[in-house]
Amino acid sequence: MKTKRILIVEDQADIRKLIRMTLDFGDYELHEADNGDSGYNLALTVAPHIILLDVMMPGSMDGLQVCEKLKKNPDYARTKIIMLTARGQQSDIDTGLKVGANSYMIKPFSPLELMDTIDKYFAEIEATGALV
Amino acid sequence: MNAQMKIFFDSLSDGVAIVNKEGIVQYVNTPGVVVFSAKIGVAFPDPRILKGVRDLIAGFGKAPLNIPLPMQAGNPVGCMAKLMPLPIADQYAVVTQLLTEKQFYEMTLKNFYEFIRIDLSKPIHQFAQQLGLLADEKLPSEVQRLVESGNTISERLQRIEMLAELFGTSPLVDQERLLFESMITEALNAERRQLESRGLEVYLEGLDAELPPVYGSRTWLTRALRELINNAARHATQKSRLEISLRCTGTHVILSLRNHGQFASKHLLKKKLFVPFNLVEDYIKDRKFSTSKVPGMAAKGPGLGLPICHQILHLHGGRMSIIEGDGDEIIEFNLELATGAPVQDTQTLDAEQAQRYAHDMVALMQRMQAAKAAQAADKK
Repeated sequence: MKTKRILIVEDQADIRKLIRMTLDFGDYELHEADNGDSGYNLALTVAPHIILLDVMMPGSMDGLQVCEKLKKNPDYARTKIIMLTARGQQSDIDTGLKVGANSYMIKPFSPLELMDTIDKYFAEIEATGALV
Repeated sequence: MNAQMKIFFDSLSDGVAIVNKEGIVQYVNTPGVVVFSAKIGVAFPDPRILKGVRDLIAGFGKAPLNIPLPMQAGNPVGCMAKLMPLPIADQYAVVTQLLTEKQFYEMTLKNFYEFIRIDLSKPIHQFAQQLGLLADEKLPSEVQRLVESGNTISERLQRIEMLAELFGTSPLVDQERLLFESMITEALNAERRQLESRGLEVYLEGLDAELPPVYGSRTWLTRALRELINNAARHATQKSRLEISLRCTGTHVILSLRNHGQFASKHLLKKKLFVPFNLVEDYIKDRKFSTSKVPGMAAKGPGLGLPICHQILHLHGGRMSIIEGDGDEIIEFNLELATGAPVQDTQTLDAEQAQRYAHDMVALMQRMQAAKAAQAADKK
């Protein structure tokens, strides 16, 4: 069976734990990072199929910059990126989509909706034969 | 409780009560009697507090618990209670904050800002215009002194108006995602007239899309940049260069602004950063300096000045410094802001998120059970 890899990039430990507990319902290989810089580097190392990316993070790269950098890299242009934002501001959402995010979820997010989105993306990835 | 401690607790404006692990009130101060209607020796009258005590004993939630208490009928007072364990075994403190007190001050400030912005703004500007008409007139010395006093008053009123505009319309601390490129462009555009009147050429360096964002209040940080540019422009020699450069150290973005000009003293300028804005001119006069005596220097403007720029940066976790430039005629300001969002409090999961999680977990479990049942049925 092919491994479905998900990377969680989120600075709040409680939210990371919550996402991990939610994703434990599925059969995924999970990786975690607590800031943009390490998240970006980990993405290059583990080549996840899906990245859950917090927008606001301390450090020299926030979620939007990580997303933009990855999407500019042809090897990661097809990686599905779900932005997690604490603010429902339209400007954040617009910027997220502009830099290539596939979708966004506003915190407090619904774990059920998250699972559904991830299932939908893995179905798409499998359909294109990109699950390696 | 001894008499002095009782006086101390009774003098607080917040309600304070101490309950044991059964929720029986052990102590309540005078404001607490009014707010909680609590009585010593009797269970605390609000079931939310009793539940909070049971939750803390059972290890659910982290102290302090924030518990909103409902408003009593006919009483407009709302309050938020904080519940926390005391170092004394099995004792818990309940502390309340009356929301009305906060609301009262917020309303008072809002009214003050609105008064300045709406009622005073027009007369302030009319006064400044009228004084401007007298600027080139040959006036008797006593009238001249009156005009000078009027100019001082007018300038300070304009500063107050600017502050009211800022305070009244924008929160001091915000978490907007800010890119330096747009902030600098906005600040330069706002100060265009000042820059043009001084014939200054602006050189920008390092302003690229790779610069990490900073998080804060767009209004306030742009204002800080404006003040910095305005100050540099006013103190620069006419038709000289104003150099703005940006660089990132990984954790911080540093904006350096260099102007070629003459100022009385770098030492004085450094001190000026820490003087409240409305005292700066007095501070300079006290030390026998006058900016108007510096050749080629623009007249005083109605800006809020470097001290407020310094305060804005300080509130955003940044700092401002002056470093020695090349030679006596170059002043370089360094403005430093941390990159990325401020570190979040990760101690407590947001209550709404926790509720949503609990709700969805039930649905996810049901979904799994249904899937298992379907698999078992298929096997049969």
